[in-house]
Amino acid sequence: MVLPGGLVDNKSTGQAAVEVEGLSVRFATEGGTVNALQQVSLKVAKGDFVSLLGPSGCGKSTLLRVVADLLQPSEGQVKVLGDLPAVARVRREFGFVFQEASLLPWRSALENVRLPMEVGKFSKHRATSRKPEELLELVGLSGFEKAYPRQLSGGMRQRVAIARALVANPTVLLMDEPFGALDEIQRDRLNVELLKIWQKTGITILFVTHSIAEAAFLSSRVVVMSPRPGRIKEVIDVPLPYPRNLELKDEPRFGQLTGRLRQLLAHE
Amino acid sequence: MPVKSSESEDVLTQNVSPGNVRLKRKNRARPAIVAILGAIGVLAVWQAIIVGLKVPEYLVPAPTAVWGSLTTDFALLMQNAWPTLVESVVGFLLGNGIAVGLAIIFVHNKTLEQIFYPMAVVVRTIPIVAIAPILVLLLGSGLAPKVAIAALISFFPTLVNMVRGLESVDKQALELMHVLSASKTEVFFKLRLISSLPYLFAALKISTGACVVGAIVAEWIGSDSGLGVLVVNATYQFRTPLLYATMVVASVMALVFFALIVLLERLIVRWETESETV
Ligand SMILES: Nc1ncnc2c1ncn2[C@@H]1O[C@H](COP(=O)(O)OP(=O)(O)OP(=O)(O)O)[C@@H](O)[C@H]1O
Ligand SMILES: [Mg+2]
Repeated sequence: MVLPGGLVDNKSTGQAAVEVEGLSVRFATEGGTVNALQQVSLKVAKGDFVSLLGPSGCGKSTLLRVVADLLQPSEGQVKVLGDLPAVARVRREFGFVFQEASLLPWRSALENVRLPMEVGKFSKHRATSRKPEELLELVGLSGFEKAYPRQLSGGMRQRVAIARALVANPTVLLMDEPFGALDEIQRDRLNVELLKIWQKTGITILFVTHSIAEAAFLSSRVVVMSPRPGRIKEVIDVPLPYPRNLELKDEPRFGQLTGRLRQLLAHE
Repeated sequence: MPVKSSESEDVLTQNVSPGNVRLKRKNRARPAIVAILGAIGVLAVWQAIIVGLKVPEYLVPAPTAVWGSLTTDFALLMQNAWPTLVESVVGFLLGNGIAVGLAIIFVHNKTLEQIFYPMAVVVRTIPIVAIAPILVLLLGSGLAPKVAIAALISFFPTLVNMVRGLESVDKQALELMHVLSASKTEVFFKLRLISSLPYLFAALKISTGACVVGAIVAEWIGSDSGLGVLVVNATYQFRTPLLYATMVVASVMALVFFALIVLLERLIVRWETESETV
């Protein structure tokens, strides 16, 4: 639900965008079975910006990949807008942004953004789409339509990847450490822009990061996870209002929040 | 917005301003000039040694003698170059075509790959000079055995490289295609095939030289025309300048062939080339 002024109501009720119940994922490895996730339950409401925060190996990517139908659960159930991930995938209910932009090097920025519309019987399954040109403008890349990935910086490539994930006009955007490979300045910029995009589009975002500040700055809710076995430790509602800008990071209440998250992460 | 339009225009026009292009051409021409000067130097030394030590022409001819043969025997050389060219080109197309087709089948059917790929690797280790007589016995003395040998010699590098190329697809790109619910055919044409092209061209470049060699070797064994026949006859008749001239023609043929493939690669595989700084 979008409130006047482009603000998104985080407490909107109704059907959840993502619903995870009793999810366990186990991998059989040479050293025995790895419990990547154990009995994880989580509900992401439509319009929410939820971050999965936790140390390396706590199962953040695993959780996101089950939602994206890139992994099968060992136990439990995942629903995206009430359907199984595989069904939601075909209907293009979600877009995915990887840590590496993974653009096709032989396609220009615009052609890369267009890719989702060219495969998987797009028009049969999805009535609405966005104009690739407008999306490049939305991510601040107008003028770069014809540029090839090798001519773009890491940050610019990630912007193209975000535009590509949005072209199918998905309800949910899944992002796995999308800015992990960028320097802090680029990351800050893209964080601000991602928030703008989120507020403009009213999309639901599930965002993986291991940066406390990034999670605190972006999210309406932070899911704190801990490893071995991967599980949810606590879900924190972020009391900071939107729109947020970078000055927020210097305020005491932001420090209090990151302090609390840090404490949660420290006590395993 | 952090990216201003003036900034973006700068970046996009940077590489096409005429001054930069001229600068690049000059830099590119330098290695060619050096190579040509080097070749001229080697030829000069060669000439000096042959003349100075009075080496008999049937043993090693001087560059001028080779040039003499190239001009006086030109008609003979071209007459024999033609069948070799046809055999090489047809063999090249056939061998590489089958290799690419087989690689595509292998990638889609693991069982077939597991059966035939090891076989191909074993056959590959048999030297072509050993296979050639067998094929001549099988296929007679016409065009067929030469084409078959040229095809065979181009076949293996392309098969191996193409299989590797088709399987070398970025894992994350495959996951992206899965998230986009792309069909197998779409994954093949939009991803695998294109990302295998650099591998394919690497193999094709090896094939260009190899198929000319294949055709010539096949002609040695049984033929009445072709550069291979000319090589054999010139050797028996001690017409050493003609022998050298034949080698020059064969090597020019392979070089032109190679250059054509490089040109094609430049036109198609554009994304691999890095921009140079200026
Ligand atoms: N394909 C796999 N095979 C075996 N084990 C796996 C596989 N994928 C993940 N794991 C294991 O599952 C656990 C969780 O991995 P996951 O990638 O989800 O962690 P993460 O929280 O995303 O970590 P990071 O922050 O480093 O990306 C790890 O212990 C990892 O070793
Ligand atoms: Mg991860």
